[in-house]
Amino acid sequence: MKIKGLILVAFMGLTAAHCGDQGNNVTASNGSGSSALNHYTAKLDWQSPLAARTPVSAKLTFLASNGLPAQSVSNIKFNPWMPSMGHGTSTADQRITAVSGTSNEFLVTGIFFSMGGDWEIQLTATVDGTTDQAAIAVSVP
Amino acid sequence: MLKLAAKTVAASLILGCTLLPKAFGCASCGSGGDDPLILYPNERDKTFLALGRTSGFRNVNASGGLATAGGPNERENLTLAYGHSFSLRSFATITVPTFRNVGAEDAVSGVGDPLIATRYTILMPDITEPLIPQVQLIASFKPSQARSVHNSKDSKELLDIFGTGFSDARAGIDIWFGQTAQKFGLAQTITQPLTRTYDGVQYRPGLTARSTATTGYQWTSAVKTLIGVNREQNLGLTVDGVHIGSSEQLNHSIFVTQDYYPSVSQLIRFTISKQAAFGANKNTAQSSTFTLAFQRTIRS
Repeated sequence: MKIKGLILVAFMGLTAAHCGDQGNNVTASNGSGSSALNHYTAKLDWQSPLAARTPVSAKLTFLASNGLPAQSVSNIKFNPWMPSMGHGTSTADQRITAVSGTSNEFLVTGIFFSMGGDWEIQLTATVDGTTDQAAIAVSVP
Repeated sequence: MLKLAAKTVAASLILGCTLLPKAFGCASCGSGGDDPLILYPNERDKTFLALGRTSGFRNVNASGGLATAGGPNERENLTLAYGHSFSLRSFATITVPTFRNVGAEDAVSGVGDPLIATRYTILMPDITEPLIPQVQLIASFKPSQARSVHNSKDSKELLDIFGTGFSDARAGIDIWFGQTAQKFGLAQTITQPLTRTYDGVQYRPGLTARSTATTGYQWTSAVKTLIGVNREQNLGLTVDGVHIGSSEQLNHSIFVTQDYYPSVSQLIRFTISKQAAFGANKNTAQSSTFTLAFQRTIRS
């Protein structure tokens, strides 16, 4: 009886040990999102390897609804948000600066994802005189 | 009245002398289960002290992929619990966890959410009927008092997080076949977190169902090994009345517990558990925990 019990416990332990390394690592990619009222499309290109718990940078490009570069962009709010967990992250070190010689490109530095997983960038901007919101999905490794 | 008292005393003696600590237990108790402390029918007051260390944190996203975890690299915990029985069939416990979150350069200590739990045994084990299980009803409440990810003041390192941010109420049932050397148990609980507002945004976490299956072997009257698995499923988050898609959570965990009874009034328990250990998992965290616990009956 004791041997049967030992075999049972050993089998379950081995099963647990082998099952521990499941899952694939998350891959990161650039992304884009159209605003809620289709006034603009925002495109995000990561300038540094996308990672959690370390500051990263991205180039943000705004296109008007006709697909051409937006003529004027202002009042940009860039808010990383983790929808599945219902929380954001620190934006204290985040800076948004216009890329010289362009009307629609911006460099966002100091973006900090406090953990890996499925995030979205909640974006608000006034593009060509109209304020609208967009969301860009980001998968942080 | 005297007859009833005599019967109660006799029942306590019989249970205490013939079954303890062999027969009693439960599927959802112990460091890998829901409640760290349970009381056996002949125990009036009992204390619990546990030291634990959790490490190997990884996040699991909605697709089941692994990602970098936020918060501490390691979490140490000291858990204190006290239990009091009201009759042969019912008892209540209060559990207070304390934590030390260890980051790369800093460590922060704090108190977690206390747990008030009670169990009522609707079917007592019978030494003459080993196939009849012990059946317990479970009810508990966990008031949220610890800082959570929703009100952390350390939004980069997240070292000051010691709770979920939501009070919750739990009910369930625990079935335990503990009369023979080979043991088996099942438990099912349902937990409803309460709605809470942070920074003007209302959060309503969904219902959580937790299923536990435990088996084990009583090697001697003083040594017992248990192994169990948990499946915990949460229906997802609703924010300002809107259900967030792909926010459902799923976690399959496993635990192995080694019990040693130096005497009938003392228990030393070593537990290894792993969260998100097997099967499909999503929107959860993977981690491994080692816990050493000591229980002592201070009044029988």
